[in-house]
Amino acid sequence: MAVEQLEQDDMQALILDGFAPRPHARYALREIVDPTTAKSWLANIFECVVTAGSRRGRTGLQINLAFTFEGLEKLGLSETSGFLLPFREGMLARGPRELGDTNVNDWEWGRQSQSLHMLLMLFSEEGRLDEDWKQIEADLGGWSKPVIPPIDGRLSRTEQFGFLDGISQPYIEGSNTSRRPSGDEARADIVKPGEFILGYLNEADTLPTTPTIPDALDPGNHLSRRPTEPGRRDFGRNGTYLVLRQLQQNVDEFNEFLVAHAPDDAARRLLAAKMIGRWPSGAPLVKAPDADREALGEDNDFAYHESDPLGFACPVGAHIRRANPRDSLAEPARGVTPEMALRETRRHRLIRRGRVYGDAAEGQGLMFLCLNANIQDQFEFVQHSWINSPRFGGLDRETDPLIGPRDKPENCAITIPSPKGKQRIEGLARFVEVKGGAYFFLPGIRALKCLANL
Amino acid sequence: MKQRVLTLVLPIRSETTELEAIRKNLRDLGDEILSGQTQRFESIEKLHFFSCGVLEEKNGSHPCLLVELSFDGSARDFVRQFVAHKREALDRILAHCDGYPGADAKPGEVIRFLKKGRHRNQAVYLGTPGRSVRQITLEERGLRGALAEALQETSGSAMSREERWRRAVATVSKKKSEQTERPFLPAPRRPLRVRSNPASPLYRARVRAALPLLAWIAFWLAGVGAALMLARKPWHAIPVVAVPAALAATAAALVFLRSPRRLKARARLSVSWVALREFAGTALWLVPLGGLVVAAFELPWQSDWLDAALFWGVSFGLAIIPVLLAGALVFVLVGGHAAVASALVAAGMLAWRSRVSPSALAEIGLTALASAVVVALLVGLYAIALRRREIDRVIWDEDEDIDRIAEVARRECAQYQSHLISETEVESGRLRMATLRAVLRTVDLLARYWFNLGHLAGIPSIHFARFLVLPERRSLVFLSNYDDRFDDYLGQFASVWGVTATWGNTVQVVDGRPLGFPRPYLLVFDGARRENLFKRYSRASQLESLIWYSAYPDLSVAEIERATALRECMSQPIEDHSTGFLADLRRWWRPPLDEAALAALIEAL
Repeated sequence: MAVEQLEQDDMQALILDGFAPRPHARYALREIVDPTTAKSWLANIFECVVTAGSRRGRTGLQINLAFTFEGLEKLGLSETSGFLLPFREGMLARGPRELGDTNVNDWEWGRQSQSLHMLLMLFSEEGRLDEDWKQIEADLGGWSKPVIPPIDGRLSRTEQFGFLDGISQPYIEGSNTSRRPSGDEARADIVKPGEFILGYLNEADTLPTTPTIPDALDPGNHLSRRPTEPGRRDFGRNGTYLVLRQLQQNVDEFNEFLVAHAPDDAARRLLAAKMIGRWPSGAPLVKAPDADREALGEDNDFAYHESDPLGFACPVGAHIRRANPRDSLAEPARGVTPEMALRETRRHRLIRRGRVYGDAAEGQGLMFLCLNANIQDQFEFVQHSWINSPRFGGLDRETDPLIGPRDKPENCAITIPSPKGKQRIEGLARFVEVKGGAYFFLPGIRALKCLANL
Repeated sequence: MKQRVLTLVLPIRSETTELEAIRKNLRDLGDEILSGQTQRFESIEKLHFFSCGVLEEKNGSHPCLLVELSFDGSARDFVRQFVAHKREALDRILAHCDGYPGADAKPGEVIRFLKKGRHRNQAVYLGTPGRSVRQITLEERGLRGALAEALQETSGSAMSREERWRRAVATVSKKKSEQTERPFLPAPRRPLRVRSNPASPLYRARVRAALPLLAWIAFWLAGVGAALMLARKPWHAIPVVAVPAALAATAAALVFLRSPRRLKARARLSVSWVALREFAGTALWLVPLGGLVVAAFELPWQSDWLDAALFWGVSFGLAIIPVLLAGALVFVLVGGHAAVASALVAAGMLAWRSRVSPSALAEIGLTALASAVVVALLVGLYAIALRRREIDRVIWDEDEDIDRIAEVARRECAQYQSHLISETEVESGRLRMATLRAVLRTVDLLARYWFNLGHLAGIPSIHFARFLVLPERRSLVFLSNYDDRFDDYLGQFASVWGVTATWGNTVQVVDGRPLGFPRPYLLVFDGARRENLFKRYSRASQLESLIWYSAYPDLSVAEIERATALRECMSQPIEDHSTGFLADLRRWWRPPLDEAALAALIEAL
């Protein structure tokens, strides 16, 4: 089937690009106080909003913008239909039910009492972050106020526990952004655009649900009409949903756990690798089961069913095997072939654009940021049915060793299988804590123009 | 133990205007039951699931209380026990129902009242058939963990795998026997009794696998046997084998002749050899057919009892076509029992006619043909009528109402299992109602006789589910006790044909306008495959489960299945490599655990 052409000039760059040349980011969470001024600011900021089509070779300020449902309403978007339920309900309401968030009342942001309307992401080159920020901060003050002080994220090859991160990333069919994967990687990672961008076909060969607004709200004719719904316009096209979660990593606790459960350095490295599924260099355990091999550092060309069905190399409950099981959930005895398992997995992929933040003194962690076209079936599914599920892949009473919930002590375990027998390690601590989170919508450029015009 | 279900639809008193008050009452009681503090439903040891919901006024019909019970054993015993032990809760639940005899009434009166409220389930699905509450919660819960733990004790030791397994089985079975005060495994050399574990997947799977074989044998005996016995001269029977063999040879020869000449003869021969082998597989089915043909030729000159028997056999054989078609039609329009009865009558009549004159054989053939044509026409007309309705339908497409969802989903994900009550309205017209009923009958048959191994058409997460058609409300009610999250559960539904075939007949009324289920194509296609829309439609049709109790809210169907299978394995002998007929027979009856199976079993624990 023909590959769909992506309208890259109408997309914010974050969808297709991690802003690699700009290693410093500032995440500003704002409450809109004066919508009218906000809209005129929006109308003047377009040259700074980087699109997927224009991202290469650009200089100057680079920002991307996303809004919560309350934020869109505050700007005057009304009579909408088709926004996903989780986006409208908000992460705060969904968290305890769907995401295993037991501590929403202790969150630093995204709480009940705060009005979070907008996420401004500023991307800067080395040493220019404060200077860039100064240019827009003054303007922001006129119509909005910060929910919390902005959080700085930096691009880092390794996350705070010391492991190479961000290796496995879906490749959007037709995006031509990076190297097109091949082999097992292609089977797992080439995903139809509709899984991540509204307006395109997804893996189920249907169009994702898109938000629409009445004609009257788009007097500037920025948006396309909905052929099936007379009188409505497509607000969602070339936009997507953005999930932001501040994950604090308790590095000391992680290291203490390793010390308590393994006798020497080598055993600790192995235990940590078994929990994560990759070595610190990024080498996957499936390919380097016994020792780290730096040459395999960014290797992503592997699957599980054929090479490691029982988890002797990479435990079935390891973090990367839960977060992206590839073909691991195949069950030929029940008629689920590896191909079917892969197809199912492709329907629950996420584009991850997270960055690390903070330092050991003030608290450090990951600003987890991911993009998906269907929050229920992608982010929430991964979190609920893979990461948090004590039954994932036929396991018994264990959750993700790194980021799984820790409210039930009987489930705080990981089983490490080997040909000699299994070892169940209990007493996993809360290595990662959620400090805040929200669901945003990352509109397409025309939708942004429509917002500015409201 | 047989699992049974009971659904009660009890009209709420007509003078009651405050449905919200009733709801609150039930919701509070539901919370008490869930917290397990004041209302210990665990004491009803045969109760699997229990739920209550309120159906609002619809199409001029009164609001009703919907009560769902799933339990072990006979309904009589269960209801008696339930009324005796849970009278206080029952009084609170039923206080607002029309005709409830009240808190002071004798148990017999309450039972009579409940009996009157029974409503027929149009289709029932059981996810773990045969497993009693006792078996699931007391005997087999935690079996896997216990075995894994026992095995871990000998992990890394010099013992053989077999020895480790034997020890673990002995430890666990001793512990379980003590805990349940009953032998957990049968004495050695005796099979795990079917009674103690009636839905054993192995047992069912074995019977199911044997059925085609039995049919195949019967077919051969009928065809070849009849020809051999009827042939007046022995060589008359030659065509039985010769005809299929000649056909196979012709096929091979044709393939040889049509293969490219430029190839070497050997290559061309090997192609036709493949064709010959392929055809032989089909020819195996032709042999008994050849037998029937021979028998028919021999027939007119025979006059003894064998002749008569064969004549009857052949007429029945031909008669079966119109009978099946007529039966299917009756099944669709009326129901299961009527279909069987009418099929028998039709077969009897046809057979009687053929008794009267041998030329009736030809008549029967014509009848078969004619009825096939008529049925084809009817099916065509039905398809056209259906498709027209499908095209004309206005599709429901609304956003979820957040407040309502917060209400209906309040208890979701607090426990592993969840509960769903859905009520939708059947689209107007007799065609729709008849279609829905026929689909539900089919679902019921399939659920009873085919999908009894822990999944319903590939959906592995339903414990107990049922469909009710309430004609006075013109609505379809679906009740399900399922595993895990709503979105995942409904996601599994999206690609199942039966889902579209069922809910495709329904609408939801918004502001007085009936808006339909995502548009199906010819009943079974498309529809629910628009997953997001389908999920929203289902959510909108959901009613709050005011009371919901599960005897094992932390267990999935797969875990229950797995525990039973593990128990089976524990009772299985270990392969002893003995030979001989008796050993083979024993193996067939109780397949032993061989080396590879044992290894896989231990590794998967």
